[in-house]
Amino acid sequence: MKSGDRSTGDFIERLQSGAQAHRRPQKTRKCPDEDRLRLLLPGQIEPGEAEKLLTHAAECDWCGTVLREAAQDLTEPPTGEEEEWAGKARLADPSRRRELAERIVAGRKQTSDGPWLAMLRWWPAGGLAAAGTVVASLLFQMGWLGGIPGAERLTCRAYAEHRELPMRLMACAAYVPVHTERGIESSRLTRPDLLEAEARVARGVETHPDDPAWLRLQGRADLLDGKDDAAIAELERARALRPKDAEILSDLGMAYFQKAERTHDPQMQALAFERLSEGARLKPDDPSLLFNRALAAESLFAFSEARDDWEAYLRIDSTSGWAQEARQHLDDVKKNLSGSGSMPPPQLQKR
Amino acid sequence: MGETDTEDQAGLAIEVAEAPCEPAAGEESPEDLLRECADLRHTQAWERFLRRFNPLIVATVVRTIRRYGFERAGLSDDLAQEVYLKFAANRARVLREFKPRYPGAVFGYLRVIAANVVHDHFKSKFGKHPEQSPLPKELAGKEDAEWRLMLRDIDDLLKQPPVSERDRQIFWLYYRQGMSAKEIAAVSSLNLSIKGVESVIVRLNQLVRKAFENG
Repeated sequence: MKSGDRSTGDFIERLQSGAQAHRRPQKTRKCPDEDRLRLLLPGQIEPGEAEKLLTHAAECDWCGTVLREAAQDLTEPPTGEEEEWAGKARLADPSRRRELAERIVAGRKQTSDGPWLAMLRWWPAGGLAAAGTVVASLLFQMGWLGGIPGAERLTCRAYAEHRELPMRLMACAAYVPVHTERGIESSRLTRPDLLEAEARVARGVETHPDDPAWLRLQGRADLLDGKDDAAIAELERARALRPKDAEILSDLGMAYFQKAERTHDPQMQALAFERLSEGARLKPDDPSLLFNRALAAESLFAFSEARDDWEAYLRIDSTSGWAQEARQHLDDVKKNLSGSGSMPPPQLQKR
Repeated sequence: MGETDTEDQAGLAIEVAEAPCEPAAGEESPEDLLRECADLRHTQAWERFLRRFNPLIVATVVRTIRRYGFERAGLSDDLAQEVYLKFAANRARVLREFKPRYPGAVFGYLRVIAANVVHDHFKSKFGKHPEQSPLPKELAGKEDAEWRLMLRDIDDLLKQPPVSERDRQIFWLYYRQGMSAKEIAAVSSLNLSIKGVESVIVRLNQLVRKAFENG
């Protein structure tokens, strides 16, 4: 035969044992989205794409493993033990199911019919209502009622209803302390503003897929939802389209900072500082950028830079809740500069 | 391979016909229920959806969580709720996009979406993937090169007529990725029963043996 000695022993047996011994599950840039790969199982992928995905999975040890595990999980019906879990689950209780069902339906009403639109419905004259709708639609397009400013306000509300990020969202002035108990128990179900923001942003991106402002808001919504990788991808796209936008740079810096917190990757810390510095060069007196860059500097042990930013921040804002946080950080940074500080820097502390 | 294509379709539709999801007398089909829920207007439809599918969703969530070495009731409850929010998000896009390509496809679809929510959760929170076997370092040398060469030679053979692209995929899913015939048949895009898959494997097995062992 062409290569090697394959004339002895059971060739197929060697093929099988070799496949195990030489398995190299390593994800590459060519690997498709894993969620999409799994959708091959219930036949939800169009034939052309399905063929490409299967060809890849057949040859790629990473994707082949993803597909094999998904098939294993989905071909076996639930075990007795799993059924027992399901019987004890929170949603085994009919009253909780009803509550969730009500929330889901109410969520739709909230996201699709703003109060202004609901009001329009009750106007007595049909003509007035129609005219009102046209005006409202125009205002929406211009961004006064909904659009980008409306969606941005929603992201601010979502941030404020449950602040998990140490950094500040640009153009969101209201102070809220950091929510220290992270857990998905307290996440989206109890965060109607985040749900509404996501829905609004999704509609915006759907109609304006290449608008950097909508992409920024998509990244921001992902960031608020704890998806820092997705946030970075959206915000980098926005930055590529509009490189000199301080708001994009601020949100992007935040996303890198969050990823650095999760992964403890110094490269992410450096990128966070870099993006925030670019933003601060464009808007040197913006309080969010000063606040955030000071945090990023702390994470890099760049205490002199951090001190300068905290001091600059307190010159702009000395009375708000943010200022109290800034003052506390400034004290810590000064202690570290004088050698009496207690490391580690904030981003490495367990919150 | 056409003779096997029309046999009973294996995979999710038949293997995963969980009783709790089956409609009670007088209730709508799962597909109809999905359509009604996609409208996002009817609380009662959602209640029925939750009652019928929650055991399946929770079981899927629990199984997927275990892939990551976790086992905590609170986490499975939270993630099950995340699954329902995923169903409802973006005007219930997930439900609207479902295509009932074969009877019972809805069960597999909901399970895949539920599993994806769990995988996404672990990826997003911890950057984790389920544990995969480590790379065997000692095989990186000559033996590995030989192995790659052997794969290439077999693949060259399988790329020639009369072997179809689908059959080539099945061969590698079986022999290289270690999937069983049952697992391959669960890939509905292939549209084959377990027997159909086995038949492809036997035929290509003979083809490869003949070409290489007598070569």
